[in-house]
Amino acid sequence: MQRLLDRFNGALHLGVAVTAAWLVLGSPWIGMYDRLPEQPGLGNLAHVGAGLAALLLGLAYLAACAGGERRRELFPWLGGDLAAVGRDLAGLVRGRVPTVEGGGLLPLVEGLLLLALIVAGLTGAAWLAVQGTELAATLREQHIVAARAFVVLLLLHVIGVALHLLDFVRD
Amino acid sequence: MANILLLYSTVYGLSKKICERIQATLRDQGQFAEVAPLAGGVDPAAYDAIVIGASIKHGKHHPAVLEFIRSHKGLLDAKPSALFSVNLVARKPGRNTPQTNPYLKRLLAKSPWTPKLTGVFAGELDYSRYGPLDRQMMRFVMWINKGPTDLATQVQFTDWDEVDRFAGRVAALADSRG
Repeated sequence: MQRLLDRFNGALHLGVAVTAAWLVLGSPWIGMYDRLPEQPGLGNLAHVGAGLAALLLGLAYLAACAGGERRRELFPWLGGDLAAVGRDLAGLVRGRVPTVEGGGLLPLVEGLLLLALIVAGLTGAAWLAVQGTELAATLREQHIVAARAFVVLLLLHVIGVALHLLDFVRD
Repeated sequence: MANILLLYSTVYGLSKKICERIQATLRDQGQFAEVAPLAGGVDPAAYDAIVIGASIKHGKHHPAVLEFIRSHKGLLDAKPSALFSVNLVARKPGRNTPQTNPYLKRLLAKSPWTPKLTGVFAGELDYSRYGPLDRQMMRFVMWINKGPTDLATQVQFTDWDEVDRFAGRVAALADSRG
């Protein structure tokens, strides 16, 4: 049972990663303001489709990580337990690479990344629902802020994964 | 005679096999021992001593290990208790003791419980069990570390004599209960 659950979570993570990569890499070809253009083109349609898929996968992954130790690892601030994050930051200052075992800085970044994805997805889906209104323009701005936060956190996550792999290889 | 619970968290079954070997050794020494999955819902309060065995995947132990430790910290502190980690790094001399193995050290650093006895055992390399991505990643890691890269490799690095010695220390620990 545990193994099946782990495989399902792994598949969700892969799905989120693939759709998020598409959204980030395809972003230069998006051209929308407060509505879908009459002839939206492949770039815009693919962004909307991948965005909705990423939102659904992100929500499912959030639900899968919402309990037990995984929640403690990804969202330590929910329980006010930031000791492991503090230790990792202090270690980083001394040149010690943080690890993924039992929470800390790297899982914290992963949790914030997931939340940024969901906020970007929700503002995007709301924009789609109210397109053509003044609210759509406001939602677009919020969507862009969330998407930028997502990209910054994604870069930090990729650096974290690279450091972890380096550690893995070195060990 | 002590009643000892051996809990395992496993990826491909080796931690369970090691627990079963410890169980057999303990039974030979006249102890009663039971093997169960960590996430199986067994009540550890019903036992005199508790041993947790955990393997690693993708460079970390399963989150359920620390979850169990946090949930049962009081019980683990009060009873004779032990922890062992199973990982491939432990095949290397200089990284095969609780004091030198990086994965066990990292787990203990994040654990609120300090086990009275710790152990570390080398795992196994069997490319046929990994998914396509994991297979290539492990192959790359082995190539960097000058380990076996042949995809037909099936090798167990576990030192079973060391497992038996650890079982003896578990028996002594269980007998020492107040």
